Amino acid sequence: MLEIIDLTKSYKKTLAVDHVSFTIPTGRVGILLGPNGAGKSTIIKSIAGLLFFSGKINIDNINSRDIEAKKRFAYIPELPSMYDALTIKEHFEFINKAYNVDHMDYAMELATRFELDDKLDKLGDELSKGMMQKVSIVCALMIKPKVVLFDEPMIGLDPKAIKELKDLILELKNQGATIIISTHMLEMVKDLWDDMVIIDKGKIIGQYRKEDIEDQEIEDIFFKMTGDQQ
Amino acid sequence: MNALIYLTKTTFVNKLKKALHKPSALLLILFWIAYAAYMIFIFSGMAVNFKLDSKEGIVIILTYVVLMSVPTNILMYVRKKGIIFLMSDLHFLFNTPISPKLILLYRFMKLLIPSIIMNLVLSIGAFFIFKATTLQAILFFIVVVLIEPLFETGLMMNVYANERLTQKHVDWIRKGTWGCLAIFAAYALYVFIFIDNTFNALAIFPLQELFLFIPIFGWILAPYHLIFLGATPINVICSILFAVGTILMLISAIKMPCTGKYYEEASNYAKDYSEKRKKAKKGEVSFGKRKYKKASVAYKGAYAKAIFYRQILEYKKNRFFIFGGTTLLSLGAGLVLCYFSIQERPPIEFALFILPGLSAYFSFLMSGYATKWSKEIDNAYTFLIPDTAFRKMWYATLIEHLRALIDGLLMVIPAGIGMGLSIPQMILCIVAHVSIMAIKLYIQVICQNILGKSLGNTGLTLLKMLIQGLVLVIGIMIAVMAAIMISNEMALLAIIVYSVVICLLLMLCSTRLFERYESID
Repeated sequence: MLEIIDLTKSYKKTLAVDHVSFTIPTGRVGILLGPNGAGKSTIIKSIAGLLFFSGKINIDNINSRDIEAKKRFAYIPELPSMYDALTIKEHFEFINKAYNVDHMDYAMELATRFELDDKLDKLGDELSKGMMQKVSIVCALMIKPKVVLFDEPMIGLDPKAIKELKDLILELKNQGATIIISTHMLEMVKDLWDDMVIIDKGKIIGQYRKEDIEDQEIEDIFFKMTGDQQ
Repeated sequence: MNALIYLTKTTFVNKLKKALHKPSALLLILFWIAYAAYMIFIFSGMAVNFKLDSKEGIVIILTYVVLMSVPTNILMYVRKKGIIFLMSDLHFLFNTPISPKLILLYRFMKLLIPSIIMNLVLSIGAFFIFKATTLQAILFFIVVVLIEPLFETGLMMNVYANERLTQKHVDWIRKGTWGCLAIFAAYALYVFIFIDNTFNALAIFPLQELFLFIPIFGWILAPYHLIFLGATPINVICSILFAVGTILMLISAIKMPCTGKYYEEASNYAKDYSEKRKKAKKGEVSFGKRKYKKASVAYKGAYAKAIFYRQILEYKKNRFFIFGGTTLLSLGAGLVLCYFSIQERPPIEFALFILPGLSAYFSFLMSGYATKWSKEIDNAYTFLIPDTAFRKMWYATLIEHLRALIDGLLMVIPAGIGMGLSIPQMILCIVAHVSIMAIKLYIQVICQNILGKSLGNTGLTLLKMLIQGLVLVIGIMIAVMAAIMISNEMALLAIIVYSVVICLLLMLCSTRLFERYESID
């Protein structure tokens, strides 16, 4: 479960996120939507522990800053950055050691699903953006996390990888993981989501459960809430 | 911990393997080793020349090193700067369940290890250059290689990542650091006024003992006094304070709360650093985030001409328009030459060659730096604009030629007046300057075009410098031959004709190559 409690974040005098609270229950897929500059990235980075904020973020009831919380949590940033001098396989090895797990076989299985198995000896600075994104996904998921945070995960991926990622998200959900996806690509997540949080100007302007919206389209809800024209 | 050891080891091994496969990287490593050896040689020579090759000498040098480095470091650490994290650290390390303290230590080691190596060299130097006894050199080694890194680590951890520190504490640390520096300055002034009001005060001040009581900065210096100048009550007390301070800071660093609140500011610094590195790799000089003024431009032309007007607009938004470091450098060189020429006027046949020589030297020095043109080829529109390659090349580089003309005027006019050159001679020197700078620009275009893909940035810079040097050497040879066989005036004319011809040839070559240029990025 992911709990965001009264999250507030300012950059100097600009209030980026204003007392935001929401929960994504265990085994559900949450999507975080909002126009550019709405505060999504700030929320994402706060959850990922990259920002200093006021309020509280709990991962499976543990404070997100706690080492125990970090063991359960995985983050796939929008723009991946690899270690230039590490090969793909060495990135997996490093994650294995950093999380003190022995999941190399699972990492290889994921690498095969993302067609990285024949590129394992390529160095970080030899990878295309799409390949970096695939490595980033494998590194995040190989630890078998309980809570996964995806920030624009489909960008740069080829159609096969997008399909694979969607399948993986559903598999993770079925295994009881909590997933949160921040994206602008509404089309890509319309079959995945269970809970929707819409942010604008640093505040939550709408929160929905899939079972409550009947046959409304995700785009319709989004544009209705943000006041934009379709 | 295992993960960080793995990361360090694997990165080192892979980089080494890569370097072994890349001769240019190996050459660069050898160059830096030779340069370091050369600097040690120069440094020891300077120590002898300035009569600092004694035990007092090493104390004097170390005092200034400490005063320059430690306060700067503290002021950086309180602003969460100075420790360089990579973008990949932000992606992978900051989310892992590795202790934020360990992550900080891991990156700090990258800064600490070179300083330990330098201290190791210095402790060898203490014996060979500064006439220390074996015992003194060993004690010095223990202090600077074993104890001081612990002190620095404790200090850094407490200032950078101690989450008990509030903004008020941070302000106090900042004010305290400046206060300590002010005390040092006041003490130096006291020595200058009351003890020795000559330059010798600079050497006398570091040997005084009272300032050893200043916390942190004075304490670090106390063991040097104790080891090299002999025990006194003050340096013994302050050395004990240094040792106790080290232990206390380490204990505090171990016990302090650190959950990773520093990640935010460390990330911002990492992003800025990564941007600067990217720019530096392209040869661009970074001045941090630039503020742009509001400006407008009237486009008096279409197609390739639009590139020129867009560049004018960009420059108009700059604080100093098209003027920059090279403008100041040129004016400075012109004024200095003018001053010295008035003091002692050089013979005209010699004076004629100083200015083109200086232009050549400047162009050689600046051959590694990016020009407006290098940014232009990163822009897809330079390729897409429906115009001929020649016009695109001309309008994209026109402003560079204008800048070279202004620099040439600023350098040649004052220097020419001082040297007593005639107006036609000055005009020839300005033409030579503009042509030499244009040669630099076109060599850049050609090198990037032909070998940009196969050579790395370092290799490309070295190649540009090599070709530039070659063109200049040929020019000098032509000038020397003309001077010997005909006259000095003809030699100057030969240089100018040569520069203009080479410049035009290179321009034609660049235009042809530009037609089949492929953007690297």
